[in-house]
Amino acid sequence: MASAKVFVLRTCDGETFEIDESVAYVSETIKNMIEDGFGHDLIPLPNVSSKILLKVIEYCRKHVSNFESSKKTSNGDEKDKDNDSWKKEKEAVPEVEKDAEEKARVEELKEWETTFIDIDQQVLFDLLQAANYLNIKGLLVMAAEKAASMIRGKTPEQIRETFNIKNDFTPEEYEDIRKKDAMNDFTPEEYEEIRKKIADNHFTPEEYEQIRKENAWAIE
Amino acid sequence: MAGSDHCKKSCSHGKAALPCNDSGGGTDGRMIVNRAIGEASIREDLEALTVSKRLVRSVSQKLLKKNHRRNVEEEGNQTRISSRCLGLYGRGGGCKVGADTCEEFGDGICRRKSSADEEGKGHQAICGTEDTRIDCFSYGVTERFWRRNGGKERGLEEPLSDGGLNVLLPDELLEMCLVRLPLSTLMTARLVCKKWRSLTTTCRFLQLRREGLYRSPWIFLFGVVKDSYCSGHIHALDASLDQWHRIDAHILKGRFLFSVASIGDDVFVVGGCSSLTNFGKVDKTSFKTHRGVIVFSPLTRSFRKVSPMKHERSAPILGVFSIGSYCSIFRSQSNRADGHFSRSRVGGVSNVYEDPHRLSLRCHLRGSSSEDDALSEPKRKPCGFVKQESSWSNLDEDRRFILIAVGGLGSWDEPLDSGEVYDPVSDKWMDIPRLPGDFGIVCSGVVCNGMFYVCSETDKLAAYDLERGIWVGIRTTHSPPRLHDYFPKLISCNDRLFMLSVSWCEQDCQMGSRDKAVRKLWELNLSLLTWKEVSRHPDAPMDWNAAFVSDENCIFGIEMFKIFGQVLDFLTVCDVSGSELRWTRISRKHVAHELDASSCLTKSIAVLHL
Repeated sequence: MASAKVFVLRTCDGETFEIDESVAYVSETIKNMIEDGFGHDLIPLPNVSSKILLKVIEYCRKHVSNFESSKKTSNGDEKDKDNDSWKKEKEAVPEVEKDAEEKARVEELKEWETTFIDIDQQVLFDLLQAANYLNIKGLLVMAAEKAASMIRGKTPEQIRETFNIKNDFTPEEYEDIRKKDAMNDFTPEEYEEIRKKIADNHFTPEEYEQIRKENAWAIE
Repeated sequence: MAGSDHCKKSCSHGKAALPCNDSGGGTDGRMIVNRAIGEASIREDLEALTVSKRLVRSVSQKLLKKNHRRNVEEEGNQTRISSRCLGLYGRGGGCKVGADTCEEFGDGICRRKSSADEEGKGHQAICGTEDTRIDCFSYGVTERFWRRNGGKERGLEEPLSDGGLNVLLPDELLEMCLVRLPLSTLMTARLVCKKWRSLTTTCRFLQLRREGLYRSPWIFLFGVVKDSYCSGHIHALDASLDQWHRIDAHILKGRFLFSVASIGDDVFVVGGCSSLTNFGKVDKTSFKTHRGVIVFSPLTRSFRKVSPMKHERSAPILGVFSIGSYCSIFRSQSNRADGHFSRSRVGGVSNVYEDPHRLSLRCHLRGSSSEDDALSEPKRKPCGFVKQESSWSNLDEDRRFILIAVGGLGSWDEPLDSGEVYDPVSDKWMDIPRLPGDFGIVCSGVVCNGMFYVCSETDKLAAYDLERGIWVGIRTTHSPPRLHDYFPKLISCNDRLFMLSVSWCEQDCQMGSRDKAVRKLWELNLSLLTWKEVSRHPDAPMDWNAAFVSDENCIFGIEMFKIFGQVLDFLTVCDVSGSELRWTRISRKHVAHELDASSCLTKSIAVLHL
């Protein structure tokens, strides 16, 4: 039967959110908490802000509704006992139509996902962490894939800018590894530009020596 | 609070939504000031700056942020949706802001916004009023920073503290993101900072990458000759991105006519020759044949030497067995003398083939003094080797590889019929029985289904059974007819055996004449031992030393030849898993135009998933 159970989640900034059981169960963490008996009161999520939880809940809801509609288009099983008669009707639908429906569903999901994950990196990283904490595999994969796509096609300098990362290689070290890892196809101008921007030396002499050794070709 | 309302609004529009005020404690510390790299002067008291200075700064910012992404920009702007922002906007300033907030403040801002937009996505608008400069600056981070800390300089002890991603994400999540990158991006990522470098070079990371199927095929072209020197360059094609890379391999300088085979994530370079008088050139007047084996690891761009072969060989025929760890070959092999070729029954299948198990059992029971000495069977011992701590990151616990090298030319250019096998784990080579006496000169070989199939220049087919350590003859119904200049090439994909051979075009040839040569792909039915033509290569077979290599269910081929005064290379691939086997061209970018025509002779290729 359609679950009437509702759970309340509380975020780190004190906001509360009500969600259905099916939606809550998308998160393994929450599911475990509920099964361990913590579902009666508020379920505290000290690592998640309300902003992010909104996004997460949006994902979970979509996940649930998508899952349900996929059951309907495929030769689904007996999820909704109340809807038996309706289901029988569905079964009469020929295979081809079902396939078309399935395709449309998949398409729609893809589009939804693209829009959903089109967020800036601050939110993306928060989402990534939340998905990890809440143990929602699909969301985690989606976010990781998006983060990877933000890295693709960029030069190291561009990556550093985008993600606000400090270059902690020394200029010599950088040149050294850049030559060794020579698959990055810098243009000479880009390389010059990069050279100019490289940070100060933060390596100890031992570290530096070790890294040099590590990167030397094992010849002889 | 008004600020948070705006936040929610922007959320619902699906725009770049940020934890834009500080009620969320978790976002603290994340947006650290130092987005503008190298600009230590951010710390300075901004309000004291004159307009002109800010204009100058904005121009240099523009140059810095050439490829800056728009959404980061927006993010910065969104953060200003706070009480402090409101105040500023109220003064008629305002830079790029999200469309929805724009509406809040009336037309003045909107107009400004549109002009700001036009100036370019990645750039800061050069706004007129003084106060707004603060907001425009450096993705708006400064603004937040000041708000949060009341002007106190927090976290600015170091000029460029490492904020952003590295602080943001725990290692395992960062790893999750990096593992999905294609190899070329991964190489770039390794240059970003020390942490990324160390994260992406651990064994664990490489393992994750391998298991998650994030890899794509790379084709490595060896043995090219440029300006008559075997310069030891390796050309690598990233098939998925259609990008060629060149790798310097000094260790291979001067070496030619070696063979290559891919094992795991490495390429083994086996044997070869080098000229003694004319080092570096393809010169066989006075040369030395090598026994040495060099292993090339593209992922670490490193080379290492392993145990050399027992015999010097140039252009040996190589094969790679992939076996379960239970196999005790090296134990059993040491018990045998030179085995003999088992003669198969005429017109059919060799009896070993028919029922290997029963036969082997028979031999086993009878011991080595049976009349079927030719099929003498070693006592099968249980696997006795100790699972060594493998320094290789790419070896699966249960999967071992054995390299086999057969034939080739010896130190006096004499064709060899000996063979040996190599175990990477124990780093040892071991002799195996010689090729059958009447087999002829072996010209091609491949491992398929636990057997190393070889074919000879006289179109004979045989197979080496690794487990039993014997050669078996394979009599097929008829071998594909071929032009005698072009030796057949055996290929194996997913336990299917194929042969590429060049023959006359007959039957459905358009011209109707026999003058046209075509390269055909044949498949051997392993139970019936019949050959069937399954595909034709679209290109005219100009290269008699065309190299083919298989990778899962694809066959990659490279042909190189001189035409109209230029050396050109053509790469094609055929997917054998479909019902229709067709060849498609990959890479329109030619790499051979700098190379000598003799590269055609000396080239060899290997394919890896990286």
